[in-house]
Amino acid sequence: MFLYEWKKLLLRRGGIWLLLLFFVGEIAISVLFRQPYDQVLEQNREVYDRYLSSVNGPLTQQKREYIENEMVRLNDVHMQLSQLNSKYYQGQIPQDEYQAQLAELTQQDADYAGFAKLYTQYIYVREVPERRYFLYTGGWERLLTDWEPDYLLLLVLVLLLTPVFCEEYESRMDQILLTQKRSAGAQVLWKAAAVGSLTVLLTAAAQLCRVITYATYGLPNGSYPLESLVSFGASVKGLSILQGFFLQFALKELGYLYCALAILALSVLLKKFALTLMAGLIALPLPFLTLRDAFVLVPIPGPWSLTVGTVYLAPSQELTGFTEMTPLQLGLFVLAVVVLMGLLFFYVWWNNTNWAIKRISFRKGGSKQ
Amino acid sequence: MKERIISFCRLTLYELRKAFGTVWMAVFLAVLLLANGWRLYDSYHQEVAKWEDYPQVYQECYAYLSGSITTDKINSLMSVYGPLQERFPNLSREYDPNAYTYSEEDDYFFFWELFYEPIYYDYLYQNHAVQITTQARELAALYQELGNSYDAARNEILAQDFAGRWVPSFGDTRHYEVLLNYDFSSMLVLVLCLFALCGVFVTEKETGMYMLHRTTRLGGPATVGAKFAASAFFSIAVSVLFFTQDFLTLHLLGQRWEALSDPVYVLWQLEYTPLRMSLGMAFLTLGAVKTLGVLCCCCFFLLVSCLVKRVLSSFMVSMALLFGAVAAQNLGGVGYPGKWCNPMELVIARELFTQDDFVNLFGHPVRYFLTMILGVILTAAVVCLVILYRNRSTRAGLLEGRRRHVSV
Repeated sequence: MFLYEWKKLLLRRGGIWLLLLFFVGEIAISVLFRQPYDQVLEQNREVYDRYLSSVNGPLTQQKREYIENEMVRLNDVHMQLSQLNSKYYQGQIPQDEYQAQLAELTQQDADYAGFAKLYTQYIYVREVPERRYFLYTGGWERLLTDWEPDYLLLLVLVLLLTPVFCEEYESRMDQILLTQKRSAGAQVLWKAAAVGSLTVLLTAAAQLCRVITYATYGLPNGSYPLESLVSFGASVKGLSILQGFFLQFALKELGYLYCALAILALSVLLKKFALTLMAGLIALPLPFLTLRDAFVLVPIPGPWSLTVGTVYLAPSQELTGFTEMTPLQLGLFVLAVVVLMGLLFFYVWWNNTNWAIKRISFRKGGSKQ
Repeated sequence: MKERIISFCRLTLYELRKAFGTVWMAVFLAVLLLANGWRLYDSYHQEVAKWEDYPQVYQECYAYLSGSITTDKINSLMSVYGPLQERFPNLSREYDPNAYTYSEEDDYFFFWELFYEPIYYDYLYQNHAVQITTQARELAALYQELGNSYDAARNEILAQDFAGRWVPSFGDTRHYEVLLNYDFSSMLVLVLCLFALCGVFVTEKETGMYMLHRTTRLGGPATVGAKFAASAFFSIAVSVLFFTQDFLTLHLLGQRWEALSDPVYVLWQLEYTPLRMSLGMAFLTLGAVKTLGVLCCCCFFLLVSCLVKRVLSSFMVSMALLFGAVAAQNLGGVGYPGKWCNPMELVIARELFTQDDFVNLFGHPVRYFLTMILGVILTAAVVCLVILYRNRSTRAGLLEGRRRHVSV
């Protein structure tokens, strides 16, 4: 039954073409809209990496001295260069002397831009040296600060999952299914299992796509504390970067599963293709497009902000009044979500049992008389 | 004849009620209107948020500086702004009790962004227009001498476009800028139309009613006509509703309406626009072009609806087309194959009017936006013909239908 539902989802309804389009779209988005976290840093990546290799990890007294000495030296060169330029423009030195000095100083100054980036990071790390380590953060920052859901995945879920129940309502098959030995109640389980596994796989695939994209910049030192990344500097959960990544991934999986269940529930409620598709589009992506802010939706136990995942790692913001959930709160929140998902599933299952159908037809018959 | 018209009207009304008069349609419409209203409010506040803390100062300055631009007003603005500008990179960021806003630097940006720059633009626009006119006249004469009649005529029209342009007065245009750049409502309208129109032709096919339909007295062309009329009425009504909501919301949020009677080029994005009308008229024109674009999109939805066999595939194919059109419009840039057939070019109407461009049509310069509108209308007409052809109720069509029916 499980395999048959899969077959129906992918082959009979042409879902495989939709999935193919989805993957092409994901890859195209990854390639076309790939942007570095810090353009200047990427341009001076070699210098930055060279300096970083000698300070990688937690801040120590030795590293502190090294960085500050290096900054003094490079700053000196930089100042000399600008003095040289202003001297030349004021006509205090001849051209050949200027050029000879310029070549030498420019060579020494080549490291300045790359080192300045490391120094900025040093100022950041220095504030809380126990929880903030040195590492290349560009890839992780990009991966974890994507504050928008994957609209393409939401769209594909709506289009792919609407026919699961609607098709049978449309062709009046649902009545016949109820008369079978392995009745609709059991079939709902298999349908939900097929839908759930498909959703989990698709979410994982979409996430993998992002990981591969940002791995091209580098995703090193996953065991360092999450606070090493500037965007999560005030996080209270005390996670490592990799733990943070897996937590947001798990939340994402939960969120998309919730979305899938919501679509199934909508299709059971509305029973018509066009209605379900439209209601799915309005219920899932529209709140994001209207509010343009996933943070507002964080305390609501709906599927919306869960599909973003990383907003639950984000630290509190004074300006917007957003507060981070503590691990306990997050646990309770997830529990509430699971209970709601259970209720949704129960709704779907209940509406496909003989008992519910009998009651509906009984009520209809009663009202006619 | 009268009887036929009456029956056609009744048929159209019936189609309207059947396809669009449902409870769910009303629910979706209400939700989308609410979403649009929120997004409008949000966009407006993002635009003005920076200086929202100083309404009193702004109101006072604005009351004095708005209206016709005079030397007195410019002098008094410069007496405040000039000293700040001279010391600009070295202004203090500390709180200053004598400042108009929080600090000296904030003062500088406040006057620069809200008064100096817009007034400067308005004041210098006349010179700019005169420059363009003179250059275009010179170029036209040069091309005439060289015997290039197309470029000569093009520059002649350009000179006429820019001749005598000037901005008489200064008014707050921030809310109108938001309105000009606002596309969310068009997308909502298109999605709603997609939902409403994807089933217009296909539902009958799905239930097998269409065979029966053609045998009735008004089943053939009259029904197709009624469906067209109902769909057009629906899409125009929804567009008008949403675009009016856009205008009214921002108009009321902005509260300063002087700029509405200024010429359209007070918005810097429309500095080189070919339009010569007031801002209010320009928004009406833009709304009309957008509605036309939506109407042409709807023709495509109807075409898909009469080509496929199921509502689901109709919805999906139409949506894919819509995404394709949006992507082509966004990423296509200056030119891509099929540009003159893409109704999205009309839906994002402001981009048609930002440049005074021309298209060489058999040696005559024709305005770019006119060719675009014409191209899209022609495409829509072709699409409508295809729909009519697919729904023809001639004997051959019936026979073909029956054959197909039997083979199934």
